[in-house]
Amino acid sequence: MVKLAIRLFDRSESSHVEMVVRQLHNRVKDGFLLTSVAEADAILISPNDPGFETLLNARKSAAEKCPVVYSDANTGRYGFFLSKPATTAGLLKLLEQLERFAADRTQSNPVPRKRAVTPNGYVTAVVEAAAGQGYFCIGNGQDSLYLNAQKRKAAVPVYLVSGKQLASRFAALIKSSPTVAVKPCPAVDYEEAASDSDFQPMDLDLLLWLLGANSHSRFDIATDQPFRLKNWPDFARLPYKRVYLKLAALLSGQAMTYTQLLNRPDVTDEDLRPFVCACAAIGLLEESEPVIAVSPARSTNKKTIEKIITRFFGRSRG
Amino acid sequence: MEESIKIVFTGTVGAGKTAAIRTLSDIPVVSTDVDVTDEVKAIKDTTTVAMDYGEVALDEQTTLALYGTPGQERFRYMWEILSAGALGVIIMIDNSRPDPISDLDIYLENFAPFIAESCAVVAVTHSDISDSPSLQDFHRYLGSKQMPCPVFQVDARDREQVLLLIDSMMAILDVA
Repeated sequence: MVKLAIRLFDRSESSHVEMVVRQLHNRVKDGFLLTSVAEADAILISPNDPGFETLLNARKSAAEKCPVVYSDANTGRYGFFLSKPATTAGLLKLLEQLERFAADRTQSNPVPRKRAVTPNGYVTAVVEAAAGQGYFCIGNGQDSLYLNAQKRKAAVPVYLVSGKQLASRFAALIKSSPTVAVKPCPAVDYEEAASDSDFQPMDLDLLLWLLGANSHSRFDIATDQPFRLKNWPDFARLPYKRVYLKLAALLSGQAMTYTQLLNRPDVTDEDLRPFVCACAAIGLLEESEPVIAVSPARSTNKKTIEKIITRFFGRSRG
Repeated sequence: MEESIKIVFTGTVGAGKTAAIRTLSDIPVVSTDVDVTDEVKAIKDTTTVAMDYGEVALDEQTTLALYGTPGQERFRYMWEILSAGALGVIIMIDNSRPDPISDLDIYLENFAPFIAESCAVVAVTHSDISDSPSLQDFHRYLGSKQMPCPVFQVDARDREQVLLLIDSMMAILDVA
């Protein structure tokens, strides 16, 4: 099945193509899927799009997403082409071409996909428990905290947390304790803890984020597997460093490997590792084929950005 | 030579555009408010009909201008005028309104050509009144529109949270 994305900034063009796609979809439901640019095999795009050349070059270099030129005339320069105005017959022919191309590419170049970031040890059990529906107790015999996975809530002893941060005792616990166990517990245990003044209620995602960011030695990272973010983390609720914003901006529109990120001059392992582990813990990471971003953003003067950062935040971006 | 750069705040009536600009501006915000006489009366007594304006001095030569657009769709002709040449747009959506996703869609549609060459950050306000749609719903919707923008639930009166919007915009522009 061909996964197609439409990226046309002209609203009337976009509306027309979407209408044609809907008409065709009613006829050949299993033939193709309309999806996001990140997920797509092929992208219908105008040659006037600022991201067009980037997309074209990405495809040339690594057999990535197919740009499909939406234009009046086929110059033959770009491979796949859909003539304006789109018709169901034209779209059907294009889909057949794309299907053949995808089949050939899969045969000649299968891409195995592995997990980019995998928790290990007890963190695996915590992440799995959080993804479930029940009640869980996490403890080491001395400290215990409780999860209500369905309501995405946790009850944590107040001495283990400090606002949106972990107290040093908790940090030490999750970093070093080999004896942490995660067990299902009766609902009443959670309810009792949640109503106890010695416990602090906490969003489960915040707990997982803190766990990921503070116990990154308990995650295995495949440095050559591209990944991206499903969406931006909710930094209004989750503690962050300013460099996390930049990482989120990088990874929300494209897939990159850990090594590629680390090769950027503004990214250090010290910042990157907790960020990706925290994102993995709350389920925001998604392995992907090595897509290069189709960024339409015009380049903004870096000095302008620095002036704004310095004015509002008092120092240059880290 | 003096340089002026700008950021635009847009979004639904009552979402907090004026409040957000007020938290950042060095000067008292200049507003073109008038008494409301239509359905907006149920939300507030006055509304912006042309623009809000605040500014921040970045250095001796550079001013960051903060423009707030009128929220009502019938003033949409102002949206394009105000966004011309801006660094980006912050779209503020009042989550207590009947259909916040459709509200967002109106702004995404109208600002689409602008967003294509700059960037957008979405701020969801009044989530204390209504937590639906969720942030995940907004992300899902933006994904279907090929717009992986940041979305945050914020209080427009909280300077730290408004700064997060600015900081996210700078991060996007920085890596573009």
